[in-house]
Amino acid sequence: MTDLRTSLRRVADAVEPLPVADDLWHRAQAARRRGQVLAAAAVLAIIASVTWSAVLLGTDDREARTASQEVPGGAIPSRIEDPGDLPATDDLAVGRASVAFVNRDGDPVVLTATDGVPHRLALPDWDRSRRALALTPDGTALAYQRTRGEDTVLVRVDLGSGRERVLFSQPGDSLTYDSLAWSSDGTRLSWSASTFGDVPAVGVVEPLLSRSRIVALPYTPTNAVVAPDGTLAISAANGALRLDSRQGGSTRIETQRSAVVAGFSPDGRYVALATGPASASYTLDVRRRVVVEHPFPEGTLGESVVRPVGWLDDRLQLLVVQALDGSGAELVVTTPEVDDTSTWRRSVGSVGGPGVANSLSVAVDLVPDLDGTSSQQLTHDFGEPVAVGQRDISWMIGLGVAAAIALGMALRWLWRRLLG
Amino acid sequence: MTDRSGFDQFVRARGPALARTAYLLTGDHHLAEDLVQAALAKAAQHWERIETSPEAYVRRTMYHQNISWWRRRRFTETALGSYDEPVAAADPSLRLTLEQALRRLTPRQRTVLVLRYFEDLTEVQTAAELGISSGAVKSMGRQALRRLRDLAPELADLVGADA
Repeated sequence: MTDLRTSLRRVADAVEPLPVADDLWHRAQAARRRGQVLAAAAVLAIIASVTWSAVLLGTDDREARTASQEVPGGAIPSRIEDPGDLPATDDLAVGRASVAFVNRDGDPVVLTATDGVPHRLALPDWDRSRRALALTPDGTALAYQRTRGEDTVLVRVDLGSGRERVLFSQPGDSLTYDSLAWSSDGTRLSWSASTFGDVPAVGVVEPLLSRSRIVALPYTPTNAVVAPDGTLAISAANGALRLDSRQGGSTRIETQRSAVVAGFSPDGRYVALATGPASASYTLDVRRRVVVEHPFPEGTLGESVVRPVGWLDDRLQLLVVQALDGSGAELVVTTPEVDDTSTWRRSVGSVGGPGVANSLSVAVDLVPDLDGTSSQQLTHDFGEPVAVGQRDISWMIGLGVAAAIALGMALRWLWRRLLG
Repeated sequence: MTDRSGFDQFVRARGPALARTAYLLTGDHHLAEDLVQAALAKAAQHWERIETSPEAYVRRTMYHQNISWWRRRRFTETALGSYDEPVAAADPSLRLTLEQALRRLTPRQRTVLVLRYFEDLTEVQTAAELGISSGAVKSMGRQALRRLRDLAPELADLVGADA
């Protein structure tokens, strides 16, 4: 009997030579190349995702969100919308703002000018029942009212430094400022109050000179605006308009249409008017003491509510126009009336929701000078709004995709290894 | 000598020997063919790295590949218990030859026997090839020989001589 070793050799020797595929080498080399390509792709994916993560984690969300969308000097967003739920920030040094408005919850929101990022500001003693606020035409400061103990105080917040400065303080919490408006040069702040003690009143504050002027009224004002020279324009609840010069002269102007004063032109010649449903915008010509109109071009907007939000220069005003057909609010640039050099340009930007439109305050200095072409962009599309404090998940999605690819490749490698 | 010609030369020279080992490892001509092809394909992929000693690489690949395939197939294989019953010697048609008995070992046991008694490796060398301990090699070898004796009592002398 032979031993196991010899028997195994005998069995093995009986085996006929096994065929080897002619293309084995080529198939193996092709598989090798595929493996190399996949390995290189995996390495690149990992390097890219690690680099991307490092860059994103090394910067805050705001910088990440706006790295490719910042506009040097700032711009008005082409879409002005309530961003919804936002964590409030008590760091008021958010930087120059392009717009400010009161959101659906009654809180102040500004969009920063260079990146369009919304910030819900935790203004000290902000009272949701007293919603007046006004952004300076250059977007560097915000005026609002707050109640400090028994005093109602007008405050100017420098959005660059976050510092506050009290502009005007009036004892008694019965005072409520109904409206606030900066002059076109930002040197004066006008206000109106339906109850100032026992009577309605309007007033002007000059922060640089630390001066203020109060005008008691025998009627209830709806708004008051101030010209760079100090002239006040006041609209009354009964629809009347009044001009009140610094020298004390007061002029009543009769109008055919109920209107609310919305802002003096820089040269003081015009006062833009907010009006109810109409197919035109209306402006008070101070010199002629008449209200002029600029009808909407035929085939454009129908009956709409018009609310001027500032002047681009002595003749161009920026309007928020809310069509009654529910098509939404939009920004329109126009001149007071139609003539050989008049302008009417719609869809400069969109404004989301009546709440935003009714409280909107715009840094009109950020609108570029018109070059006469219809293709000129007067606002900037900053993309989908992502607020500070909200998580920007785009990098997470990217990492997730990279991880999924890596996992897939690992599973493929494991599968191939198990299957030989 | 180019990579391709070197590989072809290796296959021609060592193919038959590899086929013999593969057959003993698998106990099946088709599986042996697949095993050799798979091991050679891997060798071709890494030829630049292994061309100085390709046979060692190919053999080691075959050992591991065979066990790996078995792991994948083990759930579909018949339970070992049924193999352990000795075949009645009274029926000559059911008598197990060594070849048939080898097929009834697990791939690990078969691989240990092949390395120890066909490739003439020591227990230490076998353990190194398979990446297991010498004790495991010794234990598996003992189990394999015992099973051969159980499966085919008429091979007791043959197996016992080496056990």
